[in-house]
Amino acid sequence: MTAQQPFLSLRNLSVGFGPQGAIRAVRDVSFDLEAGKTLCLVGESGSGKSVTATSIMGLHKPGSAVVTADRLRLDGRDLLSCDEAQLSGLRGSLMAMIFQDPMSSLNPALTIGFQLREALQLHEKVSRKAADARVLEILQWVRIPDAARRMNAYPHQLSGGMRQRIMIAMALICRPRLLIADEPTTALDVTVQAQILWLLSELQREFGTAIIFITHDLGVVAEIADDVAVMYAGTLVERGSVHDIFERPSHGYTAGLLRATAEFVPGEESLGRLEEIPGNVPSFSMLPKGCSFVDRCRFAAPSCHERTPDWRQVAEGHDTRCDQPIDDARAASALRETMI
Amino acid sequence: MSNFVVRRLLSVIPIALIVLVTVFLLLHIGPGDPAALIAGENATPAQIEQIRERLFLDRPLLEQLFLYLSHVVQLDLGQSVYSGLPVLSLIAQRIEPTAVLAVSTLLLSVLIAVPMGVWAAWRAGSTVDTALIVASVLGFSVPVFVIGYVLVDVFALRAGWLPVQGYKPLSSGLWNCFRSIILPSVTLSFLFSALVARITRATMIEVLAEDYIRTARAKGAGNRRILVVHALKNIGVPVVTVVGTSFAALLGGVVITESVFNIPGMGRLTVDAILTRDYPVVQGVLIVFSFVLITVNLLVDLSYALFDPRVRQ
Ligand SMILES: Nc1ncnc2c1ncn2[C@@H]1O[C@H](COP(=O)(O)OP(=O)(O)OP(=O)(O)O)[C@@H](O)[C@H]1O
Ligand code: SF4
Ligand SMILES: [Mg+2]
Repeated sequence: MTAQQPFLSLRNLSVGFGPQGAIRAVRDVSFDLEAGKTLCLVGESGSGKSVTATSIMGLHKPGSAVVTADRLRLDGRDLLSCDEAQLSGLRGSLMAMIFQDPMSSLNPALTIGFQLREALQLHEKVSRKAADARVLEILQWVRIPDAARRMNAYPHQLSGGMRQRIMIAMALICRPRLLIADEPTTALDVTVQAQILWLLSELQREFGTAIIFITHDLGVVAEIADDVAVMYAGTLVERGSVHDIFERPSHGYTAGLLRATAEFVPGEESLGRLEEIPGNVPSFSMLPKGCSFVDRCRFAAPSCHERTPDWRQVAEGHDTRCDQPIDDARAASALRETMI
Repeated sequence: MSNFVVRRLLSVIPIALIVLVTVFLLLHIGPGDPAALIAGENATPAQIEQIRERLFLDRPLLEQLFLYLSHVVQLDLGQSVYSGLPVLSLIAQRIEPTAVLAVSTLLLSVLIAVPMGVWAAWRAGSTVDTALIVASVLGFSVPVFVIGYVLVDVFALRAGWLPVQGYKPLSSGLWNCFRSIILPSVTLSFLFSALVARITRATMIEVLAEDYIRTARAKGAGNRRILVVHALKNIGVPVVTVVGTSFAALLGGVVITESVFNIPGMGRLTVDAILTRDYPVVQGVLIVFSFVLITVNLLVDLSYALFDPRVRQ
């Protein structure tokens, strides 16, 4: 399977909302992910990370989104040709998702125990007793204190951090082979966050789970990613190994993103200055002509206004959608300009 | 019993007291001498005096109130000024048709409206949904007596399947009673189910857009399971609330329906009592209706605890 066909493979995934899908929130997203690997999806707020993830799960509200792709394959299955019933069978078992907002993602009218047990029993024929044992086990695994008692609790009786861990437990209880985690740790404090990341890596080691991890936090990316995909204004602008992305950012946006986080300015910690990317993400209806990042790019050349850049390879497994891939010489000269 | 339940039960006492005092004061709020009002235009001074004494209208107000309350507490609602019969037994004679009509309308409406509202919400924007909206606007805006006459014309006069009017008591057999109440309660159901279906649809659409419904789908729950297990319990509170708060409107509809179908219930009793200025009967009827509404609201509030765990503590 792995040699010819990646575990998860997306080609030109596009998502439109509104009438006839006219609001094109995501355009032409392509990437592959191997089993047991972690891909971090990064990008500014509103760049389409959650929409991309939701599309893989087929979880857009029925009728609300138009999802198209040349390819959307998971574990040898064509997800686009699956109907809702087939997808239901895969959701929770083959692929699972941890959502961004833990406060509203649990059903207020059902106990924690019920919601977790249901997640298991929808896919595995186990007795109530066996299910309860599994639930207890996974609750302890995500470090819910006093787990046996919490099973009878309702969501409102738990803190936000605890609810997020319940959500994580729910996603993991059937040991999915693809886990999509949408900013799972933003609501948590740093120690709990570290625990969760450790749990995820343990799951991955044990079951060979492929993980798509969505985050704003480049520190987390450095810690857990194998590969990184950078999104900007609804599309992927650069993808490569975590090493490539951090050491040789080739797209103007990636470079800006890294600069905005001082500790990752390659070889320039001594400067100690943190740069904001000037301007805002353009809305989908008002994307500039040419490269969508051109208005904010410090490396922009006149030709960037003319042509929408296509993918080009910077190195093996490292692609960018920039017509003037930034090399070290250009980066250094741009840096000198800002220092003057 | 939880704190919530105890507190809610206790809150009935002051409400009941306020109702009784208000009902008592009704007689004294209007202008003029209550005794003369009740006695009517052609009454002799002696008759007016007699009524004044019988209703204790010659005593100080506070004493009257105290007397009134102490009688009501002993279930003594006084006598009808006209027939001289005890108000309580007048009400007892008339309450069955009204109760049967109200309860059957309630059941019928909820059984029809909740599934319809849920279905429309699930298929929001579809033909089914649009049809339901149109139907509910009609049910809401066509007067009860128009619907009543149309139904009678079709099912009783033309088809001859059902009685045109009147009421057969439960003691005449369940089937007879049922037949006599079908048309009136279907008539009244139009209004009530329009209301309930609309609220059900609106809350269901809201609930289906919640994040936890997406979570349920993400777990692999199918459509039916999402509706029944994950959504239904969360529309309980708003739906029961609208059923409870519009129960007063239902009672109003019952009064009209009773006169359309010539049913000898509380509605007719009320109308007759008002027309004849039979104040003790009017007061008695008001007390009964008020206590029914207090009870319904109590049940509604207590049911919150059933649907929403957040209320229970
Ligand atoms: N159901 C929807 N209908 C219309 N537009 C939508 C819908 N869902 C998302 N969008 C739009 O798609 C764009 C991308 O949203 P998305 O939630 O994927 O961003 P994100 O990258 O996850 O941001 P964040 O980091 O804030 O979570 C946004 O502009 C959003 O307004
Ligand atoms: S194509 Fe031009 S504008 Fe776009 S990122 Fe590359 S250098 Fe910047
Ligand atoms: Mg998001």
